[in-house]
Amino acid sequence: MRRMAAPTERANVGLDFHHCPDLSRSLRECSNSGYDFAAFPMTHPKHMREFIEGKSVKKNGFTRSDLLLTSQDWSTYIVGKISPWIEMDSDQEIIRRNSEKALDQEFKYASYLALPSVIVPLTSGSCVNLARYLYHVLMTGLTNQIWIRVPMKAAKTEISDVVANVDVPEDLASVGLDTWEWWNKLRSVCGTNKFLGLAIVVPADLPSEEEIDRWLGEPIKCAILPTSIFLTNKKGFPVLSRAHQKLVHRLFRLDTQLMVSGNTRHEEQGFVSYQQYLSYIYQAMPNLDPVARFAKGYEDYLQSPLQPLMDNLESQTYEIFEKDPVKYSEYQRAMHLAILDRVPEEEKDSKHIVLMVVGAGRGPLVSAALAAAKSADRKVNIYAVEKNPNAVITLLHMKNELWGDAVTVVSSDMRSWDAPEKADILISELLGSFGDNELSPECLDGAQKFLRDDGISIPESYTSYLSPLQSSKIYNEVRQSRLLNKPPETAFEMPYIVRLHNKRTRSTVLVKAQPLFTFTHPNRDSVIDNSRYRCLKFDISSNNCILHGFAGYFETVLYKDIMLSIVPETHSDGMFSWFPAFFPIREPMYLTQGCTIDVHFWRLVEHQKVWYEWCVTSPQVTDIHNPNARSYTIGL
Amino acid sequence: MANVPAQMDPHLQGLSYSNEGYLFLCASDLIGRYWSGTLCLFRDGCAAPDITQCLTGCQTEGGLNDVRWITNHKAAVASDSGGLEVWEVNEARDEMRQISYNYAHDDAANSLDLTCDSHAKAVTAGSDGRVFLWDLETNTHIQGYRGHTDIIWNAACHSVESNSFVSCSKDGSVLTWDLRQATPASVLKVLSPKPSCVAWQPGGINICVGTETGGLLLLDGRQGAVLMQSQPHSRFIHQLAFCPNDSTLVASVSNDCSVIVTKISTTIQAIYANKEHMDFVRGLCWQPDSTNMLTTCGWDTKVLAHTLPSHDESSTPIVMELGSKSPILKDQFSNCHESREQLTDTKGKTIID
Repeated sequence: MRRMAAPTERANVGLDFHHCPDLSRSLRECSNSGYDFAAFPMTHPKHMREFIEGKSVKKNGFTRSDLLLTSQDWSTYIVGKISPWIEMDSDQEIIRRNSEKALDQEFKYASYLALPSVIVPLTSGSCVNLARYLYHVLMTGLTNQIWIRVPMKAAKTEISDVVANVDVPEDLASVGLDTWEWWNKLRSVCGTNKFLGLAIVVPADLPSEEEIDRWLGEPIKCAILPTSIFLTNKKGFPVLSRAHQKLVHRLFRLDTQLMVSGNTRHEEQGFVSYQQYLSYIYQAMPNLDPVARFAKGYEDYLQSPLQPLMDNLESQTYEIFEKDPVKYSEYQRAMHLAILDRVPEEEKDSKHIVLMVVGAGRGPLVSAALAAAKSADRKVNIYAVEKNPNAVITLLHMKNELWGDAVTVVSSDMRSWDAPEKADILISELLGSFGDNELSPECLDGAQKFLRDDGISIPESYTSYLSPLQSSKIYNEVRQSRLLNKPPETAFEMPYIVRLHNKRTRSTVLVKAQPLFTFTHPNRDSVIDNSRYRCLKFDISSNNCILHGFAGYFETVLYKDIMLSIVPETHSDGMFSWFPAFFPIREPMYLTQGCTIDVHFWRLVEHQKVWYEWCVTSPQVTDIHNPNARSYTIGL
Repeated sequence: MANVPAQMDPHLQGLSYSNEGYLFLCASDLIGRYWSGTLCLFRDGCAAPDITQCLTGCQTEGGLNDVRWITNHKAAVASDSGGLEVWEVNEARDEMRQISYNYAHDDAANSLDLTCDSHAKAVTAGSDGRVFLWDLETNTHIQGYRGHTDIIWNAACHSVESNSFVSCSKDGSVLTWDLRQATPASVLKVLSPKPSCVAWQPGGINICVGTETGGLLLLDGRQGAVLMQSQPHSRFIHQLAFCPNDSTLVASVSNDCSVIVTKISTTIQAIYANKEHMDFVRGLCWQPDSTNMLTTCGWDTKVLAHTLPSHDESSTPIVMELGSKSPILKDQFSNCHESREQLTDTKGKTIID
């Protein structure tokens, strides 16, 4: 269930060499200064080469020997840099053709050296021929990883104080100066390949928060910090501005590597001072809150939603959920209020009320109910109904050792159980990340027959929420998770559970979440219908961006004003029991600023199954995902 | 001969004559174990690059890209480290020492030129998109300017205006600079094919631009209008140099391994072509007080001296059309060039004197 990302306990910082006359000495200096890796040009940056015709065409040596370093050094510490003069998308044919040969030569050499990654600079939006070649490289496995070096802000936006007649309009995208668009074009042409990462160059003047968020949703492998963006403190050491520190913290949370680039501005202190400062920032980073600590390692990894109705959960899964510090205390608070409402003060010694915990699991709600009754000073009888025979063993032991006669353990499916008496309060925790996706509506409709007509259901209602999401990382995870013996679209036609929200994830919520489907309990409709259909509209007001799918959340009213929520805006503090759901779309959709997303969602119910279907109809039309439950169902 | 490097690095990058005819040659090793540089002083162009004839020299840690004499005893060098080195030569010309080494660029310094006011300042152009202005009295940089968004190939000073220079970049633009202005640069022209080197026509307002595909353009230095153009080369032109004593002659060296001299008057015509270099040609310098002799060097580790046909002869120019693909070179012009050996025998004395 849980996949651990490699834990990083310290800042991972590299050093970019534009100039390294003596390779082994440079590497030694780099490691002596505390850096973890180094970026070296693979061929001398000035060494232009002719491949097409003439006397200067050479067949032999074009760079220095690989023997200068051990093969382990090459394959562990060295990131190769592509020559800056190569222009794959030159409008001059001779330059384009020559560049193609040069780039091929350098990539082949990188492959020979087994470099862990190669940095390719991206200097404009005309990059389609470059992208085609890189796709070829990725397909043939010539390199492990490619890092595309892209400035967060186009250099042209930063020269107007020096050059009189450059006009940079507000709308950068319209003039090809939005560097995210460059990257997006390149990555899209390369089929959003997961071995294609970003090396963003951090500018002195940071872009807007929105733009930073959009960048952080991308697969940033490395953030390049030019020495020119560092300030000098009173003691003469390099430091970063507060805004830059904040960005670096966010990058660290994403396990991004940093790379210091440029000549040292602090000659006395040397390059070691930059590394020391960044390590210091890493150490000084505020500790993770309990939720983030719990979720560490889950970020951006896909899990299949639980199907507790169909499958029996493992003890370990129960244990994880029971650790939540918030959920059960809120349940207890809700029960406390409900119990008080059912039994007025004057009847507290005479009246016994019946509580039924349906889906009791290993009993956390039973314990909470007993604690609520005790704090309310009321007498209760509790039925703990559980269909998982393994969990029932735990419940029976709990009863014998802790709860005593107040609790009756029932080993049965709540839908088929014939209760000996009716309940005053029906308590359940059947909600999934998307609210109804673990079939709480169907279960509670079945169980409500043994709830008194004026009885209380905790929870009393829940609502699912949806928001459009940009995350090439998650999109790639979905694409990789192609299932054996299943058609390729299957992976895109099911929801996933994924840790999306906080500063450690690479996803960008494009628009605030909106409510989708609501269910209320007990359901007193004459004909109960739990199928739903709704169309939501989301206005894209900020930047151009990419839609990869939809994040799903829920909010529930336990009792009166006591709520639990995983919707980002109203998230219950410190609660980690639920991670958001993710509903992918098959093809990433390009969204221009000002457009509207129309997304249609269905919850469909048949005799033995429940499923969702979804499609987008604006700005482009997709077909229905998961038609007729062909890829994903929730078993009743 | 106390301080002479063991050998010359193979990729000869730049050369410069002092007023007294001494030649500084700078070089890099772009493919060897160490990407080092050498700076060597020779009595004249005929002696270079023979290390046994080197008067004094040194090996530098990083590669060297361009060299310029500041006075008869002092020279500045632009280096791969992004810095400007200043070297001083003693009276006997058998020793040299580094007086300063400062770096300012965050990438290689690609070219170097000196301002017209008695070489009081230097301008370097870097791969980091910046030009730096250096004070050659104190040997420190006065200021850096980021006016380009990509590699700056070349920056060249105006011949009479000490605050003016021109620069060109892989970003496609040619910028003219006036350091007296609050925003010192302005875009003169954005070109495609992109500019690869620039030179200000001495005494005039026009700017000569070489391109990445071997074209030569004469631009109006105020308006940016293309006044004339030709296609002397078929590849990247690395450097341009106007003849100091005849502002109608501009020499160009290129990745097509050729050296061309173009006469720009009412028409634009190549009057000299040499294809003897076996690799990219990099360095280019007219000999002092001459109107018909220039020296070039390149990655074939050769230094070639060229003597142009006399001006009378040049009345029968190479037949070429404006903007034509490549010059049609008459065979006769291969004879115009005298090989280095011949030069040593017959013209060597005149160069020294």
